[in-house]
Amino acid sequence: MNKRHKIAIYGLITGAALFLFTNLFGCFATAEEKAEKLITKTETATEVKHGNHSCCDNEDAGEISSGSVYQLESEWTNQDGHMFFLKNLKGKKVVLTMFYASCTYACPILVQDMKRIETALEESNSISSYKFVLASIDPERDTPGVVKDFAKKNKFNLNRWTILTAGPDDVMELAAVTGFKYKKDKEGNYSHSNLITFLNEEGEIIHQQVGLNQDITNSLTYLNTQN
Amino acid sequence: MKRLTNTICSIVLYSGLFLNANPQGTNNSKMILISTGFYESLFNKGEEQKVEKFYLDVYPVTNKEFLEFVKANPKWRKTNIKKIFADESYLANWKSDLELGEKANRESPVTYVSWFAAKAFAEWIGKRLPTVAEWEYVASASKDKKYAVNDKEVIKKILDWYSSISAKEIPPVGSTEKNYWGVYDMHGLIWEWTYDFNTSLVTGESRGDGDLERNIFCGSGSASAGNAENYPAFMRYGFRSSLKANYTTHNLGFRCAKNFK
Repeated sequence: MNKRHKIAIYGLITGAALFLFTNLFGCFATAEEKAEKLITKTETATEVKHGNHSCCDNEDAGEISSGSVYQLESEWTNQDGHMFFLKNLKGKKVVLTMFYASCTYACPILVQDMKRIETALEESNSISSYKFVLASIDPERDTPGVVKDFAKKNKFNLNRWTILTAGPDDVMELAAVTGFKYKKDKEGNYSHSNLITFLNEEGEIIHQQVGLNQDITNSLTYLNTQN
Repeated sequence: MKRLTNTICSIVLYSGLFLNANPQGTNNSKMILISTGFYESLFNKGEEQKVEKFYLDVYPVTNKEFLEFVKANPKWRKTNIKKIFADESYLANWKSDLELGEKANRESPVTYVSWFAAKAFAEWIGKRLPTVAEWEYVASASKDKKYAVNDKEVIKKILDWYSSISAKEIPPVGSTEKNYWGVYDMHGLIWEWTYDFNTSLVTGESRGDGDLERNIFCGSGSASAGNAENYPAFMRYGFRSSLKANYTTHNLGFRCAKNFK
């Protein structure tokens, strides 16, 4: 609720600022200034198109398909503390697992399962078209700092691996969309599905690997037939 | 230049958020305050879960109410719905995007809705979906008792309904029993979505235990049923665990809840 209010207040302030700004411009801008404004506009547009980190890049990424997980508009944070939208993964094939860093039994095995897939893809030279994503189900304990340590401990290549955290509701939506089940117990640990989900370049689920220590041949076949 | 771009972008972003900052739905449906209590989790023997007091809708959400929602939110209309949010039978008994038609009574509960659609409705109206614990806590009451899950007659009545569910038109809300809390239709009208429906870590054969399950779910090997008599609850958990978030069917609807504060 507080967050919402804050956002509303920000919205109001920025809205008011915009109103003042445009009005001032309307009253005082000379023809010359107007011309300059036009040039600025064109330059801005070019910048948006070619820029690497401008805020509007995603709008250029094209339409998201009806069956894509990227229809979720949830806001995530990556291991470096930067804001991350799932649709940022568009264009890559994704190997996704939900996990929590303090899990001592299943999650380390799931990570090893993902690494086996990574190694197999490295051997087939197609590794550059893949992203490996771990999404935490434990918003309370898994801060960006904690997951960064987790990444170091597991020696992830962060050009390929991304570890994401988000609020409980965003976690729930991603879990719901991938059919991942989880439940927190009294001690704060989780029971959860052992599930690796594979997404194509559009973010559509093409395959799911259920269980631990599974033979990855089947999953690799699914990934390769999507080439 | 970059700064200007950023400013414009953040203005667009903030004003977008601003528009969504307050619930826009009309909030007519009646709610009742459910007082704090304990709910015996079905799968963890002896473990009582505290349910904090909260508000619950007296009736499930109706077709009429859901129509208002889709009028205001084009994204959730039949022809606009994204596959990831609802399967192909979404609002299947409605005539068109904005017409209910003959098969969907205005006062009957809206069904053929997915978890995502139910959740979006709840947020639009400034509420939320009840949790499994909240729902089961209220559903364990009979007409005059707060906790009646061991009452043989109550069990029989619920099971009779479960075995007689048919595809015929669903009666208006309020057609079945009013329970101890003053809440209608917890049993006998429709199945209902819960917020954390995907916390039921059970397979179809969950009353038995097995290595298979231990392999699929981390941690579930330790779960053991708390009350084997509560067969209706087993059925509900089984049903929930078979659901997917975009799943819709003729007798699955929802009602909303709200925090007490």
